Amino acid sequence: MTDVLALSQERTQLFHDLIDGRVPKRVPISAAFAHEFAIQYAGRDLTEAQWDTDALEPIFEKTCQDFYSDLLPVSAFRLPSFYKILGSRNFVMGSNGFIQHPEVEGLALEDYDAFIASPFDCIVERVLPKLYSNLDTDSTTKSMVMAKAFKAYTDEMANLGRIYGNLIQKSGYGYVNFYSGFCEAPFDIISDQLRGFKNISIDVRRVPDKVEAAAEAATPLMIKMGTPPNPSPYNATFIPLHMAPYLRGKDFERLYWPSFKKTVEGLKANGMRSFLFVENDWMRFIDYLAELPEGTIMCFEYGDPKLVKEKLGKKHIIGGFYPVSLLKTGTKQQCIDKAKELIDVLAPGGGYYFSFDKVIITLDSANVENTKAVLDYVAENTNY
Amino acid sequence: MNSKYYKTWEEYKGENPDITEKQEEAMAPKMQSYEEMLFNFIMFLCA
Amino acid sequence: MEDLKKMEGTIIDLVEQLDEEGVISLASQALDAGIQPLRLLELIDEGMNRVGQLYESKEYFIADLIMAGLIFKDVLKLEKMAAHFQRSYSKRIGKILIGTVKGDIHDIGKEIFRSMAEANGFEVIDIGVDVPKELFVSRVVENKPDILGLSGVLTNTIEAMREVVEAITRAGLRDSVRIIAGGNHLTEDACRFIGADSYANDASSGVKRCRDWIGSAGGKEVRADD
Repeated sequence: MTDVLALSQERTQLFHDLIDGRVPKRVPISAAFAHEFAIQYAGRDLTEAQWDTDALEPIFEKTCQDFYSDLLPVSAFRLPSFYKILGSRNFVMGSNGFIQHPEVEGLALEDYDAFIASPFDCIVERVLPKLYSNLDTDSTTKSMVMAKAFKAYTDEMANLGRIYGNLIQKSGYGYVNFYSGFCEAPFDIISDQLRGFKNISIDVRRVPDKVEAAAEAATPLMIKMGTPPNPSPYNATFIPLHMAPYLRGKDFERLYWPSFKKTVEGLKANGMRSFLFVENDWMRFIDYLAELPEGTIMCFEYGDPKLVKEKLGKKHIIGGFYPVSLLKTGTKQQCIDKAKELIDVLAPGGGYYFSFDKVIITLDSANVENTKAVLDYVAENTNY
Repeated sequence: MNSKYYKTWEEYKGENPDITEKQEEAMAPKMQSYEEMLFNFIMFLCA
Repeated sequence: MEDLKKMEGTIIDLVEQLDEEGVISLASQALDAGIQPLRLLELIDEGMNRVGQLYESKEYFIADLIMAGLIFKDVLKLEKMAAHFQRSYSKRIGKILIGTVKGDIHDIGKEIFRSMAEANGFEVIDIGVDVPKELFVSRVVENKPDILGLSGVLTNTIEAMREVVEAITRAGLRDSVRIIAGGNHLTEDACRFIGADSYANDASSGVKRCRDWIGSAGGKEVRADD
């Protein structure tokens, strides 16, 4: 067996142990860098390099070589080609080449009833033309735009899939994929691109019945969206959680939680574990998280690691909490000390993997030396 | 899922009764995979 | 006069309860009954302060601040208010220039901050999103604000904010303006790194800090009490 193959098996075993509820040999590590970081780290221009996805492999490889991780640390979430073809209003390149999303309204207030009656029909007929200006046209032109965009999208996904496979093999990463599926909490899918942050905040006060019904209607869509063709117990469906921390408790309980819980349970019934990116601070909802199916993976941005370990550590798989901002502003020693502090709280007994509190999105989001030092420290000092 | 723009294989077969059993075995996975891919693409565009 | 007094109390309560329809209806009635626009603004401000307090005591959350901001804007759009508000332009307690730094196009936090700051008597100049440091400098020169607010949500904005502060310093303007950095991810360390005078993780504490600054500087022009 080659060294690389042995390394891959070892790393896969770390994560299998984690997922199966056994204490692994050491704390498993899942570093996460966005493709934008990788492009900048390789000294390339973000406004150019995102167009040639064929050529991304050596770019990603540089990040893989320099930053320790047990799983593939680089992935691309959104690429510009198909968004440009569609005339996207909701995914726009900023002046530095970074794709972000401005506030948009894909679903008008008067569209709620249509969405509740048939969400997918409403999305196709009313939402897409509002989000994508090149779909807001006659049906002939629309079908040609969709054809080009779909081709661009499948090309990008195929290129990325091939690149990921090559890098995993070359670098001996574990064969576990927390991004094997993707969906959102039903309340979030209605909020993010459809109503927008401002509108949904107002809808919660003005038309809560409609919000509730819309979240329910969207639930089967989210379960279907999040179920990949080949479900596996060692892979997961990625669900970034957005709106909850901005809502009152009562509104969360009525409008956010029930459909989200149903989604996670529905995914489990389809053979998929959920990987939640618990954005912002969910500590006031921690007892709700405890209700989710056992073995849910939760990466926390902010909150109380001790409380999370105490209330969720036995049932769920915990990651996150390590502040990327410290990698930017701290000394090397401060950064290493922080890692040690978190590991001391979260690692005992297993059920924990090391990850930062968010994806490192650009080269200037974190000091490179600090980042390397922290990942190396965890790789070398956390045997159980 | 009740929608004008998505069909399960059974629904598609219902509308295309000329498909034989032998053909179905050969064509169903491929044909339905395009339906699923387009569904996922559309959902990704609003997520 | 009795009726008007009763209405005043109810208006404040309705703002606190985020009853949009109730506020607009009663505010319109009050204006028709002869309430001074400046007095009405004071009532709305009081209601907004209560909303701010409920936010701080964690009974209200960001979604509620957005609703409050909307109610504030709705009242200002009422005919008699719109006309008067423009005339009393000079009676603001201070001037804040805000923008989201380069590389970031998020504007929600900035908008909530703007609503709250305006409700607290500030004049706010919003120069938009993805703003390069040179534009911050030229707009500060042009507008001479008391306070410069830098908004950003993405982690790379720490660097962008630092560059703005550096540019302001190089232009010889650092002593003429207080700088506050706004963003959920910011920390004491980040603030020091950026070189700002203060930082805020949310609009409410940001506005508070601005009020403290203006208060300690002996505010420029105090609004007349009715």
